[in-house]
Amino acid sequence: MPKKKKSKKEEREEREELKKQRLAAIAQKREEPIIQIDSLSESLREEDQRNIEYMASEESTTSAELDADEKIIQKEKNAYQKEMDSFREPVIYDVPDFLLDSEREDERREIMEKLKFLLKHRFSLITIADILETNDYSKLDEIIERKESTYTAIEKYSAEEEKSKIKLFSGFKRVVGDDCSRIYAEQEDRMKAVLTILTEGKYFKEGLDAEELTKIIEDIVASVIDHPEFNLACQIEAEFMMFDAERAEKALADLRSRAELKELLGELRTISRTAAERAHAYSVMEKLITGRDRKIIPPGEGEER
Amino acid sequence: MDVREKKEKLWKQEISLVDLTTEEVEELKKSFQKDLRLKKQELNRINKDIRAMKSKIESWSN
Repeated sequence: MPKKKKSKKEEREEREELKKQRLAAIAQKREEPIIQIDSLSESLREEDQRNIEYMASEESTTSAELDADEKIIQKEKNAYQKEMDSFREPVIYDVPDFLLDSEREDERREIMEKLKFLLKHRFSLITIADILETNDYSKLDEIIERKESTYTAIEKYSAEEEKSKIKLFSGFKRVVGDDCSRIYAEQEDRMKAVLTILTEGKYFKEGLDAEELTKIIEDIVASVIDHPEFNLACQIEAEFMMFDAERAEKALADLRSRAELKELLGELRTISRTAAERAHAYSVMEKLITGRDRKIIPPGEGEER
Repeated sequence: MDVREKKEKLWKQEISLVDLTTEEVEELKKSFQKDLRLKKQELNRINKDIRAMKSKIESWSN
């Protein structure tokens, strides 16, 4: 029996079906790389989507073309990764010799006591971070000497001057802001973690080797150092702490004075604007009553023009 | 730059508070306080004139 000839409609439907199958095959083939490059930038994904659409519109895609696309995507992915890596500077941290040598326990304790002293006095944590990062412990004595010769705001006030102290610190908090204090506190905990590792000799207890120890310290120190807000908080606090009480009070008085001047200027602007508006309103009213083109004439003083 | 020039620049916002020293801030504060007193007097005078005119107009309608 002769095969029934397909109608035009059937042919069109068949073509549509084939087209759908091809699109599904293309989409399936492309799906895998999309998942793989999930971490890539949005622009790359958009580009990928455009490629799919372009290929679908062409209705003909060979595996060779797909492979070529894969290579392009991989190339772009590598370039992107390289660019991202260029923003990250590797932290180089060498575990100091005295930490790895159990016979140098006294030296370790001495250095840690000095670091703890700085931490206890809330001396700029960034200074401690710098020392840990560079392993330059020779700076410690110099810093401690400076610290002791510095008449800090805290020490200046005795217990009897509690009110002044509170006033001073509320002023400091206002300058630094709650966020900075919070960040500072978070980072201080990290720094304490570094010191705990070093002072308690956890690497001995937990059997950490030099590489593991380096990794731990490196991570914590890097997290403290690479934090712009923390650096800012440290800077402000260090500057504040370097003030003697008199200077700190002067600085706060200056801040208040500037705030008052700002407020004064605001009030003056408002009053000047109100006065100008009312003066204008008055002159308009005056013109209406007494001027040539007066619209209002007092009773018994004449007739309207 | 004398006080008048500093005041003018600050008023026109050509300079900001951070450009001023502590002494300048104090100096300008005194000067602006004087201006504020004068301006308040001026506003009171205008308000008084407006009230007088309002009474005059109201008296016509009586």
